[in-house]
Amino acid sequence: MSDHNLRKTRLDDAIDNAVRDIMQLDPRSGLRRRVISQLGAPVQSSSSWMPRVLVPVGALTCILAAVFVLSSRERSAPVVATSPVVGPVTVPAAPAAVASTPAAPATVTALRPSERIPPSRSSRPRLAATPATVFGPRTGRVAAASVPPVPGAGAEAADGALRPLPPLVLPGLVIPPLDLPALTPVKKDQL
Amino acid sequence: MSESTQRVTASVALEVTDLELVRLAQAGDVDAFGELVERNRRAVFRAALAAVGSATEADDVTQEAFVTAWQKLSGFRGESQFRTWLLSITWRKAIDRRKSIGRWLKLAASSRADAGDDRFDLIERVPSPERAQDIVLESNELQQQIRKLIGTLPRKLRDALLLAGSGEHTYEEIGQMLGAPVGTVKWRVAEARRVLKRKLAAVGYVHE
Repeated sequence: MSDHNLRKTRLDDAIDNAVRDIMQLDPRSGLRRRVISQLGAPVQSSSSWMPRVLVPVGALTCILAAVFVLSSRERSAPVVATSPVVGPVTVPAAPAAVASTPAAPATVTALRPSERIPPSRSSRPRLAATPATVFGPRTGRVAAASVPPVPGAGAEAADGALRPLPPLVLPGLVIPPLDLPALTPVKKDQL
Repeated sequence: MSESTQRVTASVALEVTDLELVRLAQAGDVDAFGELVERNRRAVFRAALAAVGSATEADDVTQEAFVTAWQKLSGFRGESQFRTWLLSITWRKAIDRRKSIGRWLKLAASSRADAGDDRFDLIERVPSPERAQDIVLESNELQQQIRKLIGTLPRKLRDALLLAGSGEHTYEEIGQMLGAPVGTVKWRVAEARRVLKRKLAAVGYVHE
């Protein structure tokens, strides 16, 4: 056998022996007795009680966090829903008209797609896409829960004219109508 | 209990299959479970040893694994071998322990490495008696070097190599424990040996 082959064989054997040497140990004597003595008792190792405590606590924390997030969303939902559409719709609001309906936060009902004023019945230019048109019809459920109904608000669409809206007043926050120049329709050949 | 009675009891116990013992244990027979402990203690201990690398830790894991097996025994339906099921529990426990203690065995630093326990049969291969002394010394050093290098192997390779070298587990059982097909286990063992040889060659143990 050449020295090279001998070395290779020795290396293989050496690896086998080293592994065997590491692994050929036996458990301490009395394992059976120790195990049986523990069978009635609850296991108290740190690795067993930790999950039993941490999992319920973690689950409870998740539930509380979810409830908190949901409730805070519900509280903030009307503001999010009305503020983007108030601006474009209330552009032509006249101060006098605002004064005539001081407490009419009827923004949601006035902007429902089903009640939107058809362009042919109004001389106003068509409005650009609003969140209501982009994200689908609004149900108004959230707003209806927090905004008191205004008498006569539904009649706005019936007579075909949008009434100017008052400033949106929230506790500690007043959002005035945007002061934008009125849009005038321009024909294509005039461009 | 007389010696002859003990012998009879032992022979009867050997005739009872693991599954029968499991059924008895499921009915609350602690002695039957004790017999299962006796039959599987070495396989369980060595599986734990391969994972945690310390005999003391492996002993604790072994005990925990058996206690857990007893607690979960009602859920065992005999769809697999009891031993395979038990080894899976053991391996999970051992891996948890390995993670929790955050250290892997220092094979080379262990006291056994310094004990000079040489199992090489070099005299048969090396005819020259003058050279034999040198080679024995060299092989001691080689053993220590291999232990060190086993400790540096990637976990997957090391686990497969040690489990396969334990002499207690089949490739199927190792595959069940590691969650890998038998072919993959075999490849890992061979790869572990290749890596070891390459590293040994790098420190001068193979001259080409």
